[in-house]
Amino acid sequence: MSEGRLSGYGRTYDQLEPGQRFEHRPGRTITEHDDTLFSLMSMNQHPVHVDAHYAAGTQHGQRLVVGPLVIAIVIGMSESMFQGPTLTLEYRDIKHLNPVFHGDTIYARSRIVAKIEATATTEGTITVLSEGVNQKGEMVLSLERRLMMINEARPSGSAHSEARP
Amino acid sequence: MRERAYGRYFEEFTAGDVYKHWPGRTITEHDNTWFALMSMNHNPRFIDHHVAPDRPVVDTLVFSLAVGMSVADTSGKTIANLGFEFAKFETQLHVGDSLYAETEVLEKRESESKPDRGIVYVETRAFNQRGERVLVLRRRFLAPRQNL
Repeated sequence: MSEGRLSGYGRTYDQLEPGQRFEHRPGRTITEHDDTLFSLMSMNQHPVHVDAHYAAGTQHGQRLVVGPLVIAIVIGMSESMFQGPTLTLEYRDIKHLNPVFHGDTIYARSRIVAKIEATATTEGTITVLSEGVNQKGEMVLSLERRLMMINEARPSGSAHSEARP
Repeated sequence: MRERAYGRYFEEFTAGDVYKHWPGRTITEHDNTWFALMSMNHNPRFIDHHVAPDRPVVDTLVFSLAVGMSVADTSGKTIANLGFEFAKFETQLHVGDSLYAETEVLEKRESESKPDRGIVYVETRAFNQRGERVLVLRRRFLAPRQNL
Protein backbone atom coordinates (compact mmCIF):
# COMPACT_ATOMS: atom_id res chain seq x y z
CA MET A 1 0.00 0.00 0.00
CA SER A 2 2.61 2.54 -0.99
CA GLU A 3 0.63 4.37 -3.65
CA GLY A 4 -2.16 6.88 -3.60
CA ARG A 5 -4.07 8.32 -0.73
CA LEU A 6 -5.02 6.45 2.36
CA SER A 7 -7.60 7.39 4.89
CA GLY A 8 -9.79 5.83 7.50
CA TYR A 9 -9.04 3.82 10.55
CA GLY A 10 -5.32 4.20 10.93
CA ARG A 11 -2.35 2.08 10.05
CA THR A 12 -0.13 -0.04 12.24
CA TYR A 13 3.59 0.62 12.40
CA ASP A 14 4.26 -2.16 9.87
CA GLN A 15 1.76 -0.74 7.41
CA LEU A 16 3.33 2.72 7.30
CA GLU A 17 6.01 3.45 4.72
CA PRO A 18 7.81 6.61 3.58
CA GLY A 19 5.99 8.35 0.73
CA GLN A 20 2.48 7.37 1.79
CA ARG A 21 0.04 10.27 1.70
CA PHE A 22 -3.06 10.81 3.77
CA GLU A 23 -5.96 13.22 3.37
CA HIS A 24 -7.55 13.67 6.78
CA ARG A 25 -11.30 14.14 6.87
CA PRO A 26 -13.50 15.64 8.11
CA GLY A 27 -12.23 19.21 8.09
CA ARG A 28 -13.13 21.68 10.79
CA THR A 29 -14.46 25.24 10.77
CA ILE A 30 -12.76 27.39 13.37
CA THR A 31 -15.31 29.54 15.17
CA GLU A 32 -14.95 32.72 17.17
CA HIS A 33 -15.72 30.69 20.27
CA ASP A 34 -12.87 28.25 19.50
CA ASP A 35 -10.34 31.01 19.06
CA THR A 36 -11.30 33.17 22.04
CA LEU A 37 -11.50 30.23 24.40
CA PHE A 38 -8.27 28.67 23.11
CA SER A 39 -6.32 31.92 23.43
CA LEU A 40 -7.45 32.53 26.99
CA MET A 41 -7.19 28.90 28.08
CA SER A 42 -3.55 28.89 26.90
CA MET A 43 -2.89 32.20 28.74
CA ASN A 44 -2.36 34.05 25.47
CA GLN A 45 -3.98 37.49 25.75
CA HIS A 46 -2.52 39.00 22.59
CA PRO A 47 -5.18 41.53 21.53
CA VAL A 48 -5.05 40.43 17.89
CA HIS A 49 -6.75 37.23 19.09
CA VAL A 50 -9.06 38.49 21.83
CA ASP A 51 -9.84 42.18 21.12
CA ALA A 52 -11.96 42.71 17.99
CA HIS A 53 -11.77 46.49 18.28
CA TYR A 54 -7.97 46.43 18.41
CA ALA A 55 -7.77 43.88 15.61
CA ALA A 56 -9.89 46.09 13.33
CA GLY A 57 -6.99 48.54 13.26
CA THR A 58 -4.34 45.97 12.30
CA GLN A 59 -3.03 44.72 8.95
CA HIS A 60 -5.86 42.26 8.31
CA GLY A 61 -8.63 44.34 9.87
CA GLN A 62 -9.94 41.47 11.97
CA ARG A 63 -8.89 38.96 14.60
CA LEU A 64 -6.46 36.19 13.60
CA VAL A 65 -6.86 32.64 14.81
CA VAL A 66 -4.09 31.96 17.32
CA GLY A 67 -1.29 29.89 15.78
CA PRO A 68 -1.14 27.02 18.29
CA LEU A 69 -4.84 26.31 17.67
CA VAL A 70 -4.17 25.74 13.98
CA ILE A 71 -1.17 23.59 14.89
CA ALA A 72 -3.18 21.59 17.46
CA ILE A 73 -5.98 20.90 14.98
CA VAL A 74 -3.69 19.85 12.12
CA ILE A 75 -1.74 17.54 14.44
CA GLY A 76 -4.97 16.29 15.99
CA MET A 77 -6.41 15.45 12.58
CA SER A 78 -3.22 13.68 11.57
CA GLU A 79 -3.48 11.27 14.51
CA SER A 80 -6.15 9.38 12.54
CA MET A 81 -3.42 7.87 10.36
CA PHE A 82 -2.06 5.86 13.28
CA GLN A 83 -3.64 2.81 14.82
CA GLY A 84 -3.10 2.87 18.56
CA PRO A 85 -1.29 5.28 20.81
CA THR A 86 1.56 7.51 19.65
CA LEU A 87 4.10 9.54 21.56
CA THR A 88 5.37 12.77 20.02
CA LEU A 89 9.06 13.56 20.43
CA GLU A 90 9.49 16.70 18.40
CA TYR A 91 7.97 19.25 16.01
CA ARG A 92 10.25 20.87 13.45
CA ASP A 93 10.01 23.75 11.01
CA ILE A 94 6.51 24.99 11.83
CA LYS A 95 5.47 27.58 9.24
CA HIS A 96 2.34 29.71 9.29
CA LEU A 97 1.94 30.29 5.55
CA ASN A 98 -1.30 32.30 5.51
CA PRO A 99 -3.50 33.85 8.19
CA VAL A 100 -6.54 31.95 9.46
CA PHE A 101 -9.69 33.91 10.27
CA HIS A 102 -12.84 33.08 12.21
CA GLY A 103 -15.13 31.03 9.98
CA ASP A 104 -12.32 29.49 7.93
CA THR A 105 -12.32 25.73 7.51
CA ILE A 106 -9.12 23.77 7.88
CA TYR A 107 -8.34 20.50 6.13
CA ALA A 108 -5.19 18.53 6.85
CA ARG A 109 -3.01 16.19 4.86
CA SER A 110 0.15 14.29 5.72
CA ARG A 111 3.02 12.42 4.13
CA ILE A 112 5.33 9.92 5.79
CA VAL A 113 8.81 11.40 5.40
CA ALA A 114 10.92 8.81 7.19
CA LYS A 115 10.67 5.63 9.18
CA ILE A 116 13.57 4.54 11.33
CA GLU A 117 13.27 0.92 12.37
CA ALA A 118 13.69 -0.07 15.97
CA THR A 119 16.91 -1.70 17.10
CA ALA A 120 17.58 -3.83 20.14
CA THR A 121 18.07 -0.71 22.24
CA THR A 122 16.04 2.03 20.55
CA GLU A 123 12.44 2.48 19.55
CA GLY A 124 11.47 2.97 15.93
CA THR A 125 10.38 6.48 14.99
CA ILE A 126 8.26 7.93 12.22
CA THR A 127 8.60 11.43 10.77
CA VAL A 128 5.48 12.96 9.27
CA LEU A 129 5.05 16.14 7.26
CA SER A 130 1.58 17.59 7.92
CA GLU A 131 -0.04 20.51 6.14
CA GLY A 132 -3.14 22.56 6.80
CA VAL A 133 -5.16 23.95 3.88
CA ASN A 134 -8.11 26.34 4.07
CA GLN A 135 -11.43 26.18 2.18
CA LYS A 136 -9.90 28.14 -0.70
CA GLY A 137 -7.10 25.63 -1.09
CA GLU A 138 -4.47 27.98 0.36
CA MET A 139 -1.81 26.43 2.55
CA VAL A 140 -1.97 27.86 6.04
CA LEU A 141 0.44 25.62 7.93
CA SER A 142 3.21 23.09 7.45
CA LEU A 143 5.20 21.21 10.06
CA GLU A 144 7.20 18.06 10.62
CA ARG A 145 6.57 15.80 13.58
CA ARG A 146 8.69 12.92 14.84
CA LEU A 147 6.90 10.32 16.93
CA MET A 148 6.83 6.76 18.17
CA MET A 149 3.99 4.30 17.99
CA ILE A 150 4.02 2.77 21.42
CA ASN A 151 2.94 -0.43 23.00
CA GLU A 152 -0.34 0.01 24.83
CA ALA A 153 0.76 -2.22 27.66
CA ARG A 154 3.60 0.05 28.72
CA PRO A 155 3.28 3.27 30.71
CA SER A 156 3.82 6.20 28.39
CA GLY A 157 6.33 7.98 30.62
CA SER A 158 8.94 5.25 30.31
CA ALA A 159 8.72 5.22 26.54
CA HIS A 160 9.42 8.91 26.54
CA SER A 161 12.72 8.68 28.34
CA GLU A 162 13.83 5.62 26.37
CA ALA A 163 13.41 7.56 23.16
CA ARG A 164 15.79 10.30 24.11
CA PRO A 165 19.06 10.20 22.23
CA MET B 1 -2.83 57.43 29.22
CA ARG B 2 0.10 55.10 29.61
CA GLU B 3 0.37 52.33 27.09
CA ARG B 4 -0.11 48.95 28.65
CA ALA B 5 3.08 46.95 28.97
CA TYR B 6 1.96 43.84 27.10
CA GLY B 7 4.83 42.41 25.11
CA ARG B 8 7.98 44.33 24.23
CA TYR B 9 9.25 46.70 21.59
CA PHE B 10 12.27 45.69 19.54
CA GLU B 11 14.50 48.04 21.53
CA GLU B 12 13.55 46.32 24.79
CA PHE B 13 15.00 42.93 23.81
CA THR B 14 18.60 42.16 24.71
CA ALA B 15 20.32 38.95 23.68
CA GLY B 16 20.95 36.85 26.76
CA ASP B 17 18.04 38.21 28.78
CA VAL B 18 15.81 35.57 30.37
CA TYR B 19 12.17 36.30 31.23
CA LYS B 20 10.55 34.15 33.90
CA HIS B 21 6.88 33.90 32.95
CA TRP B 22 4.38 34.06 35.74
CA PRO B 23 2.02 32.57 36.82
CA GLY B 24 2.26 28.90 35.94
CA ARG B 25 -0.77 26.69 35.47
CA THR B 26 -1.97 23.25 36.61
CA ILE B 27 -3.34 21.08 33.82
CA THR B 28 -6.60 19.48 34.88
CA GLU B 29 -8.47 16.44 33.68
CA HIS B 30 -10.98 18.76 32.05
CA ASP B 31 -8.26 20.70 30.19
CA ASN B 32 -6.73 17.57 28.76
CA THR B 33 -9.84 15.74 27.61
CA TRP B 34 -11.45 18.88 26.23
CA PHE B 35 -8.25 19.84 24.41
CA ALA B 36 -7.76 16.46 22.77
CA LEU B 37 -11.34 16.23 21.54
CA MET B 38 -11.64 19.89 20.51
CA SER B 39 -8.56 19.46 18.31
CA MET B 40 -9.89 16.17 16.88
CA ASN B 41 -6.99 14.31 18.45
CA HIS B 42 -8.17 10.74 19.05
CA ASN B 43 -4.84 9.40 20.21
CA PRO B 44 -6.06 6.96 22.88
CA ARG B 45 -3.30 8.02 25.28
CA PHE B 46 -5.16 11.27 25.80
CA ILE B 47 -8.78 10.16 25.98
CA ASP B 48 -8.71 6.59 27.34
CA HIS B 49 -7.44 6.10 30.88
CA HIS B 50 -7.36 2.35 30.42
CA VAL B 51 -4.81 2.71 27.65
CA ALA B 52 -2.80 5.31 29.56
CA PRO B 53 -3.56 5.22 33.30
CA ASP B 54 -0.82 7.77 33.94
CA ARG B 55 -2.87 10.39 32.05
CA PRO B 56 -0.30 12.07 29.82
CA VAL B 57 -1.02 15.66 28.80
CA VAL B 58 -1.57 16.25 25.08
CA ASP B 59 1.66 17.46 23.47
CA THR B 60 -0.12 20.21 21.55
CA LEU B 61 -1.59 21.48 24.85
CA VAL B 62 1.85 21.64 26.48
CA PHE B 63 3.13 23.45 23.41
CA SER B 64 0.19 25.89 23.33
CA LEU B 65 0.60 26.74 27.01
CA ALA B 66 4.35 27.30 26.75
CA VAL B 67 3.77 29.66 23.83
CA GLY B 68 0.80 31.35 25.49
CA MET B 69 2.64 31.96 28.76
CA SER B 70 5.51 33.59 26.90
CA VAL B 71 3.49 36.14 24.93
CA ALA B 72 3.05 38.80 27.61
CA ASP B 73 6.85 39.00 28.05
CA THR B 74 7.89 38.52 24.43
CA SER B 75 5.71 38.73 21.31
CA GLY B 76 2.76 40.64 22.85
CA LYS B 77 3.26 43.51 20.42
CA THR B 78 4.28 41.37 17.47
CA ILE B 79 3.50 42.30 13.88
CA ALA B 80 3.89 38.71 12.69
CA ASN B 81 5.04 35.36 13.98
CA LEU B 82 7.72 33.91 11.74
CA GLY B 83 7.33 30.31 12.76
CA PHE B 84 8.95 27.77 15.03
CA GLU B 85 12.33 26.21 14.34
CA PHE B 86 11.61 23.27 16.65
CA ALA B 87 9.79 22.13 19.76
CA LYS B 88 11.28 19.16 21.62
CA PHE B 89 9.38 17.22 24.26
CA GLU B 90 11.76 16.00 26.94
CA THR B 91 9.68 14.87 29.92
CA GLN B 92 6.07 13.73 29.89
CA LEU B 93 3.67 16.06 31.69
CA HIS B 94 0.72 14.39 33.45
CA VAL B 95 -2.72 15.58 34.49
CA GLY B 96 -2.37 17.36 37.84
CA ASP B 97 1.12 18.62 37.07
CA SER B 98 1.84 22.33 36.79
CA LEU B 99 3.67 23.97 33.92
CA TYR B 100 6.01 26.96 34.24
CA ALA B 101 7.93 28.66 31.46
CA GLU B 102 10.82 31.01 30.78
CA THR B 103 12.17 32.56 27.60
CA GLU B 104 15.71 33.54 26.66
CA VAL B 105 16.45 36.07 23.92
CA LEU B 106 18.95 34.37 21.61
CA GLU B 107 19.39 37.06 18.99
CA LYS B 108 17.80 40.14 17.48
CA ARG B 109 18.38 42.00 14.27
CA GLU B 110 16.85 44.99 12.50
CA SER B 111 14.76 44.42 9.41
CA GLU B 112 16.67 45.29 6.25
CA SER B 113 13.60 46.31 4.27
CA LYS B 114 11.36 47.89 6.94
CA PRO B 115 12.91 50.27 9.48
CA ASP B 116 9.90 50.12 11.82
CA ARG B 117 10.54 46.55 12.98
CA GLY B 118 13.09 43.87 13.79
CA ILE B 119 13.34 40.11 14.06
CA VAL B 120 13.66 38.56 17.52
CA TYR B 121 14.82 34.95 17.96
CA VAL B 122 13.94 33.31 21.28
CA GLU B 123 14.08 30.01 23.13
CA THR B 124 11.18 29.15 25.43
CA ARG B 125 11.66 26.41 28.03
CA ALA B 126 8.84 24.85 30.03
CA PHE B 127 9.20 22.95 33.31
CA ASN B 128 7.01 20.93 35.63
CA GLN B 129 6.63 21.62 39.36
CA ARG B 130 9.76 19.57 40.10
CA GLY B 131 11.86 21.70 37.76
CA GLU B 132 12.18 18.94 35.15
CA ARG B 133 12.31 20.35 31.64
CA VAL B 134 9.22 19.33 29.73
CA LEU B 135 9.63 21.25 26.49
CA VAL B 136 12.09 23.49 24.71
CA LEU B 137 11.17 25.46 21.60
CA ARG B 138 12.71 28.15 19.42
CA ARG B 139 10.83 30.71 17.37
CA ARG B 140 11.16 34.05 15.60
CA PHE B 141 8.77 36.99 15.50
CA LEU B 142 8.67 40.56 14.22
CA ALA B 143 8.70 43.16 16.97
CA PRO B 144 7.81 46.80 16.25
CA ARG B 145 10.31 49.57 17.04
CA GLN B 146 9.24 52.15 19.55
CA ASN B 147 11.48 54.99 18.41
CA LEU B 148 11.94 55.57 14.70
